[in-house]
Amino acid sequence: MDITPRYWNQSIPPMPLGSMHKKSKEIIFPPVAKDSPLDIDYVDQELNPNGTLYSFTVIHPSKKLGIQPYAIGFVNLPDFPVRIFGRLVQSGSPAIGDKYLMKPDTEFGHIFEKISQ
Amino acid sequence: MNKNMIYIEGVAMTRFDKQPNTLAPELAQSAILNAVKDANLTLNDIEAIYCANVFGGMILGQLIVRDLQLQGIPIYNIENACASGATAVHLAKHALLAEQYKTILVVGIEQLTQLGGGTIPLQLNDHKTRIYANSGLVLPSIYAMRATRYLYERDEDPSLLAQVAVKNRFNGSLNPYAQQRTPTTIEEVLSSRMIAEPLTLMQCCPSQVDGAAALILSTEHNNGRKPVKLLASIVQSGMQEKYSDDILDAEITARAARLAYEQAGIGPNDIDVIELHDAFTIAELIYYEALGIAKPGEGPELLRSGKTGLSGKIPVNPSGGLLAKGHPLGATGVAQMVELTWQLEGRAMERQVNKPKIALAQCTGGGIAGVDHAASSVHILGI
Repeated sequence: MDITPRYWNQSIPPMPLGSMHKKSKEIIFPPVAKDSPLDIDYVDQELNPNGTLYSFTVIHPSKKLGIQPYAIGFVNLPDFPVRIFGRLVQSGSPAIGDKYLMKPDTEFGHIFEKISQ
Repeated sequence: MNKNMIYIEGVAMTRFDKQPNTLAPELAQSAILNAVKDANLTLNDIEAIYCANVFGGMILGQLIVRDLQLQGIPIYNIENACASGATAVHLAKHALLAEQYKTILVVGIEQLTQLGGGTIPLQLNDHKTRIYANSGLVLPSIYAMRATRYLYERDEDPSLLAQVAVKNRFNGSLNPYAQQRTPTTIEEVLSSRMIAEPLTLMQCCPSQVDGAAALILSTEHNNGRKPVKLLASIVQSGMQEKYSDDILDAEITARAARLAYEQAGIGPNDIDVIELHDAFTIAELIYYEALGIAKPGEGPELLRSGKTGLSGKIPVNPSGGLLAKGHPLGATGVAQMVELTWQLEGRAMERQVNKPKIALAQCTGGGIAGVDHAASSVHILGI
């Protein structure tokens, strides 16, 4: 049973969702689950998927696993401010300050794709 | 005796190493019996036992003591990830101050070789952690991202990180209880297998390690040595991360340290020796500033000055730290205080630092997304 919360809305293209605390206005990701006892303290917040890379690393799995190195990182989405972790997709190496677009992904739920500048 | 004073009467630990043919009870019993002997006590003097462990399964404490012929004294099993051992000491302190007991045994035990290798599993009973773990979040990657940001903001070279490993591996070479007992060089550290950039294998604490550590806490001092006192004991939990958080702040550690200094009535300048949670090299650098032994931005200068070396002004991780000893989770926090007690009592042999009077132990427990760390604990000991 997949109990992962749905955090993409139905628009085209889909926009990511978070939750905003009614009092503090802090935004969290992923959104609070609808059956959570905390849901009463939050409202849904559609996020702007454009962000800036805050930090990253490249994971080097053991060669025995046969998996290629992959980049992961924290991206700041400033418009409705929230920092989100995820896979990074780009040619070449990531760099702090690069611009990324958050997109749906069937394997990971979301990825961040570098925007060419 | 001051009824509000808590003494560390006896300490012991096993060697930290791969010990897959030894069961957890045997490891723990070795540490327990040696700690009791070190305190000049018998097992019958123990009134309660606090057992720290993360992955050993339910009622491990009771299993450990089942065959010790104790008379049904209370046994409490404590888990706070890597801060389990320190948390056990903290809770034991409460019970002693409340005069529930006079003498308590704290034991920390872990057998990571039983997990079969790989990174420590995260707590996945959580939407956020599960989503992030699915994308590749593991404990080394969290620290690696801190290291990336650190080198970027401070305009530093990865060789700075390697210097932490060189220092602690040298200290470990002098410690018969450490798993890694060979010194190393910056070149060797940087050329070891890349794990999560910029952290190479030798910048990560060994994850295939088993070990136990024990100490006796009491409101009475009778061991015939100069008394080692528990001057402060703090446990704090992580707060929900915000967008504006700086991942280099080590907020939970700075908070726990501030409270510990207040409780002990001292400041960072009064500390003579430290055992801190160097699970990865970047952690030690960040904690220099969080603990207040370096001003913000001056961690690299402190490391390069040599002041945190064995013969320096404020030795950090004279035991070799987690990088050299290894990190059997439940045992680590207790082992830090075992080392510091030895240091304060002048019993640390080849790695003895110069006549310390005040010591600080710091550890953090991680494993969930959305917080700096889940738990942090700081203890201050004095002689």
